[in-house]
Amino acid sequence: MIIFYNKKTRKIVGTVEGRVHDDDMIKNSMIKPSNVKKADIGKYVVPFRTDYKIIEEPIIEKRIVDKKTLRVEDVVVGKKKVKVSAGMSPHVPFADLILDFEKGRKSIYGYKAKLGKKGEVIGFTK
Amino acid sequence: MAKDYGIKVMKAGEDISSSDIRDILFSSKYTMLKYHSDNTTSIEITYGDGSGEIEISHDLGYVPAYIAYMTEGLISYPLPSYFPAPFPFGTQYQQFDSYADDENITLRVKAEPAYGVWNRNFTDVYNDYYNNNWSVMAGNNDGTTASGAIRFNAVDLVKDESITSAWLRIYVGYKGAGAGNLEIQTFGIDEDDTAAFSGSPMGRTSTTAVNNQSVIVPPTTEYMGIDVKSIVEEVTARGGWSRWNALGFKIYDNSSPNDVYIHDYYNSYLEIVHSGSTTFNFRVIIFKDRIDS
Repeated sequence: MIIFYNKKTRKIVGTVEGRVHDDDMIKNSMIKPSNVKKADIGKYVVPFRTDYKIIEEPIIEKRIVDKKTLRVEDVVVGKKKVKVSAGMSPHVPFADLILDFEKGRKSIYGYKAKLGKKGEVIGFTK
Repeated sequence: MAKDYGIKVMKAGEDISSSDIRDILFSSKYTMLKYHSDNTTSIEITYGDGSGEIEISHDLGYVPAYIAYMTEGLISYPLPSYFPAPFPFGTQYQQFDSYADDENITLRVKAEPAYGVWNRNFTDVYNDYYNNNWSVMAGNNDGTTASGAIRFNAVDLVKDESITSAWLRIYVGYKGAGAGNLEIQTFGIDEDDTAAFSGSPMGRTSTTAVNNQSVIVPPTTEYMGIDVKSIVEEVTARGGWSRWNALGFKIYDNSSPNDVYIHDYYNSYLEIVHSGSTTFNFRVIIFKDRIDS
């Protein structure tokens, strides 16, 4: 998700939806009122990370179960723990709010960007 | 005969030789739409403005295919859309549309009259030059002072409401032939719900707020504005004021030159711009139909 906001009023002016964006999209996308300069619009790319979970999977081996016909079957010989993807989540302290924006549970247009001392986005506030 | 090389992906169960586009999920033979971006945005319009515009950059370098919606809660209206009322303060007509060029998708909102603007033609008038309730006149009519009053019922203002502006728009139906500025003083009638005019209302209590004006009378068929914001604020701050009460104004000559006056029978109105803004939300889905260079 890429969020555009007015640097002076901090009001949100637009979003590009999605969790993964190519470099061109991140660099070149822009949403702005026609009467506002590009320089007055801030762009915040919400960082997403892949979440992982550990699950148990059976260890399967092929065994000949009939020597005459050489019929082979899968046989569970044990268990192993494997790391698998559990989707993506916003990698920010206000992740729940981002998820609410994504799901439409809260309208992002009711919020303003909260800026840090260097002008960086540190959250969103009503 | 040239062979038809390429890749085709069909819907499950459809024959690879089908030429029905609905059966083909992908074909390397044809240009096919591909998703580019899914955007949301909003346009906030301050009351008193009649239009707003926002640009979504797509950076494709050509005019792309796209779908644009105006969204209200769970409902999406594809653009262009045209809505009559029922937006606040009597907006009569509003239009939402969009256009594309090789850099941007531009969304537009246009309303007529502007958002947050309330206006109403007068319901009562008084003209002390003719001593009748048929027209409003102010200034100097051939050597004789002319003053008048004007009233508007059912005013859409709540008590103590903050407003951006309030103007009396006096229509110049007739004007004097004299030279120089029209000199007038405008007061409000300092009453909670001033009654309809029957005869002269000039003896009714005046507001403290007053507008002293020295102005060149516009040509006939045009309007002359009198700023009555502070007068309206004083009356609507009264303890007994409530929404839909009536407002009245008295316009006195203030030593206008000989034969400099304005006179209207039908068209003068009160225009109030409320404080606030209105916001519209949009969603725009943009598609690619060419290979990236």
